[in-house]
Amino acid sequence: MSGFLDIIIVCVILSNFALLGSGRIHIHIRVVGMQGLLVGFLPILLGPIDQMSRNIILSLVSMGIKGVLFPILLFYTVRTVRIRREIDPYVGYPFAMVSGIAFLLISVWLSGKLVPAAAVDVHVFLLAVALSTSFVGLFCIVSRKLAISQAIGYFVFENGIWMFGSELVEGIPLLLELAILLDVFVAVFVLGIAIYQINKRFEHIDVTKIDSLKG
Amino acid sequence: MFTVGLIFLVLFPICSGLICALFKRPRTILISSFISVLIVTIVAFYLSLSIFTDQTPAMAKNSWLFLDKLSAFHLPIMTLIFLMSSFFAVGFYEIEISHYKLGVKQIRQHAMLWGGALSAMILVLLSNNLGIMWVGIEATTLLTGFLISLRTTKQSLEAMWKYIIICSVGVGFAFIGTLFTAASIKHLNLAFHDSMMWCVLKDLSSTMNPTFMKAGFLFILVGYGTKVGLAPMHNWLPDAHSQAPSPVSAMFSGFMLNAAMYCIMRYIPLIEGATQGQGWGLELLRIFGLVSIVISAGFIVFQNNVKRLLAYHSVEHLGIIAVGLGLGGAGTFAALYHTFNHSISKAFAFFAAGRLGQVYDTYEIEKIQGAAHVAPIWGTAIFCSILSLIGMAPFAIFMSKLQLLKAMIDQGSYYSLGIFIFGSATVFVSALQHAITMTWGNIDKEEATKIHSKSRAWEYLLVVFCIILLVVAGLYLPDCVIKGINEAAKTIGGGF
Repeated sequence: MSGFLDIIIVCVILSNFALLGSGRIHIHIRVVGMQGLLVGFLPILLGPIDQMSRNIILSLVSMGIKGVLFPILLFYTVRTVRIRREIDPYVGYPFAMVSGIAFLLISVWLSGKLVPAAAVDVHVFLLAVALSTSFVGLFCIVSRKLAISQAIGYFVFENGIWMFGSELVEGIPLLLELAILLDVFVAVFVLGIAIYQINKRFEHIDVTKIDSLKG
Repeated sequence: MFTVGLIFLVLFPICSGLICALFKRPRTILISSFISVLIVTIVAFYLSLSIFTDQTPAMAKNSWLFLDKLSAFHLPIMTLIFLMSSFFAVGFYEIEISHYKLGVKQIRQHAMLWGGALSAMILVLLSNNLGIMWVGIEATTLLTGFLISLRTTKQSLEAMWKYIIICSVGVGFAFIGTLFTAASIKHLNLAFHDSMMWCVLKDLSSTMNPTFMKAGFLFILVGYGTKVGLAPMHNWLPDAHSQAPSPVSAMFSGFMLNAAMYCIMRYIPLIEGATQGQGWGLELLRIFGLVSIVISAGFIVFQNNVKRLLAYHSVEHLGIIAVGLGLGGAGTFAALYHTFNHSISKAFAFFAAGRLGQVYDTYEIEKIQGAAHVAPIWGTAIFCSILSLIGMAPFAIFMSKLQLLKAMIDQGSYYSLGIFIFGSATVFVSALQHAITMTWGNIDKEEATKIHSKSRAWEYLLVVFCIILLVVAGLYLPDCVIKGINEAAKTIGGGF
């Protein structure tokens, strides 16, 4: 069980670097989908042992929404706006990879600070990876110029929060978990429709050129 | 009675919004939307009054939904704002349609999203579960995004995108804060059902892990603070409030910001309990409030767009509410009183700005001159509403600001006092200048005759109602209302 958890952790770290190091939108979407599938296993691995049916339902719904539906909807959006590559981001890809390493180190340090405060056994490195995934998501929102990249960054940020929650909090009621997933699911629709409308009006989705409102 | 009532309040608006959107004519859609909001308002007022006359909070659905004095204070304010905005929307959108700016499709979109937004905000107010409260706030972000870009212009799309991204990330931070809060009681091994229930956490707050709760409160403050519009997370606010149609702007400023502030209010007793009443969390809230007041004052001086001016006023007033909450005690009372006063004033101001924008076909302050001659009732409205917002007596905001000043002096918080007075004075001078030029500025007689607008009965009704409400709330607050606000303040550890 712990071995499988370690594999998930390593794969998530590698997926973060794939996201930071690449400029191709379809790779970004595949990364988000893969991360969604990986973090979908966490309720089964980390959930309360006496509520296995709840954990399995949650895992299946989470993997279905984040691992399958998200990539389908994001690919559909990308097809309608006809974008394949990111425009030169503010931060170059090699520097972004180095930033990813920095985020991981900061996250390890931060979780080391948090964990002694906890009264129960917490998987420190999973917490660190969760934090670093959130940082990577935020970094994508800030450093990328396309609206779709900002949306993808937001979903990576959400994946990080999901991992964080799975590790830190044991028993969130199933209804609440499903409500949270529903919210994120609606978010992908809303962001997709917003990107479509922006592309229709502006004929591009470069957010640096959508900045007329000032002051 | 409460169980049925609370479930009705959550589900009815979104269902009626979808049904209203099925009608064919825009006027029918808007009037049916107004009637459904009226029904919700009546039920909300009835339930809230029952809570204030009874002593115990009402629970429903295995205590996932509840109505205590704090939510019973906010619920009537919210429904009143929605009611006034729905009433205003009928006349406002009719004119927009006649000027070919909107079509039936957008009115349908408005009706559906309006009902959805109302349902989501009611869910926020009625949730005992902190996670469901978060779900409600995230839902308001997603549902109100397309209300901003109802008229799909380049600027409204820009405002909508900024709003969705900034607020979604902010609310994501708030979720991290919620998780930290849940983690802070992990060592108590509560039943799953109780682990995120506010009523349970409030009683156990002194046993919470202080490190986790402090980290959680920081994230809550920054996260929900983004949705409130506290500086420096306020960047989405002027764009969203200025680009949205006026009924939507009135609802945004009138209650949506308060809904997010309500979420922060719910965490105050938790952080105070966890830090043994040291005021660590309150100090942070005060700092964010003061920064908001100063930054908004700066932007108000140089403002040229009337709706952006009102949006920055929202940042200032939510900052004032944050300072009040951060003082505790009588400051919490002043903050809650200010919540009501600001909501009414701001909605009123956006109604005036919206109609003047239609009359003059622009929102630029330089071009909106001499409104007292061109559209007398709305000229009066914009002047009275801005007077109210800057804290001029006898309007209500003067009284709540006075209460806050008194609370600051009583607590010896002199640096807060100094910054507050500096910010308020700056806003007073610049906004008054804008108000005077807009109402009595020089306008070409020919121009004035060309755009002169004869106001209809509904406009007189709305303006007179708002002015009376603001004057009465400022001059005479009945003892039972004072007691009610105080009891709501006591729920979060304040009050006198």
